Amino acid sequence: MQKRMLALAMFVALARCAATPVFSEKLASTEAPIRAATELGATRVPEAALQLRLAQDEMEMAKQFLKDGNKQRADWLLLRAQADAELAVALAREAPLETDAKSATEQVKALQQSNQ
Amino acid sequence: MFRAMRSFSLAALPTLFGLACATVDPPKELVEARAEYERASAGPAAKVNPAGLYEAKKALTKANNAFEQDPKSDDTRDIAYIALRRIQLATAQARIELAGEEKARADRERAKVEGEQQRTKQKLTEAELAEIRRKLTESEEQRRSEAEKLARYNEQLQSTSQQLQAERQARLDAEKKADEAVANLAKIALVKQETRGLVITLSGGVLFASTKDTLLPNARPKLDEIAAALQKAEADQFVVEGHTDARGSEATNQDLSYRRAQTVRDYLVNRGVPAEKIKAVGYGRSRPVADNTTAEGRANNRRVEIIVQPKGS
Repeated sequence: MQKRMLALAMFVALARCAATPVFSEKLASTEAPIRAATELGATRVPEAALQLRLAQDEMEMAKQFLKDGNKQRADWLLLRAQADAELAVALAREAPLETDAKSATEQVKALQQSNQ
Repeated sequence: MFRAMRSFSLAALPTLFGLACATVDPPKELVEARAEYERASAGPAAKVNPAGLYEAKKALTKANNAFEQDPKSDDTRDIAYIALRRIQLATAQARIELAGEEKARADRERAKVEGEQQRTKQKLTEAELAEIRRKLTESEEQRRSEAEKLARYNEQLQSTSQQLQAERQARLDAEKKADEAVANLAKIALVKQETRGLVITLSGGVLFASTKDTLLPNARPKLDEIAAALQKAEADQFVVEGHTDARGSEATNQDLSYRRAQTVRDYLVNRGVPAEKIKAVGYGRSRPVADNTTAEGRANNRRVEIIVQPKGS
């Protein structure tokens, strides 16, 4: 009977683990955009660099909360870090595209002027 | 009754939460998220990134709900924070989309302008080509005109050359005739070439009787031949000079020599020599050619000389 109870308890624990992502998976989901933002040169774009920095800090804090046993705060901080990192990715992509677009527009204007 | 009470309290629960919310200020994350959403929905994201904006709206609604349910919890702040980032992300994605569109537009415009430039350049090249063709035609016409001119020059040159040849031939013929005339004259008179011209010397005794100025009959045929020869001669001027020997007075001799020269001149004019080309001069005894002390010398000094002055002398 006791063995049955233990087995049931283990089954329930495993089932819960399978239903909600474990912390390491959430961590991976946050690390991916942080890495992407870094590779896109977020550190060279001030706004993106700020978001990247926030994401990295929140991720570290999440790890600390997990270590301290506050799993709920850790999860929320990871979600915040993920949102910051995704914004950092977008801002890092935006900067060179805007520069390119402006430069192309100016070149066309210059070309049009030289044509007149 | 209890059931009714229970159902009432459940129905009033959101209102009670609403009252509670009204008394608690929303966290700054939620305030910022609401303001950010207002800006985003009025900006380009509504047009170019409606899907992103919709996700952001859902996140904001979730944050508003969380605030209604538990205004003071950390979770509400986290949810609002994440909503704020979702809204900012939607806006950033809209800007990326716009930048892409701007770049594409600029590229299209650039291609268009470059195409126009190319066409203009091509037109210019065609204009240049037309100019080159025009110049070529012009230079071809010029070349043809010069060739025609050259041909005309050649014809003129040939004609001039033929003319020269003819003139040379005519001169040769004239010289031949003159030589023949001189040869004929040599039979009847002494003919000498001197610096003053060709000198035909006729003895006075053959032409005139002593002290007379009328021609002897035998003189006439000789003078006829001389007249014929003079008419053929290429000369500007003929001078008939009368000379005497040293006997008698100088004045008499001067007069006699002039009259005799005049007689010969008149005869020659009568025989066809142009009057304006021939003149008579008397030198008396002033220009002897021989010794006056001997009869032979005196006979030589009594003479009539006809000087043929060639053209251009």
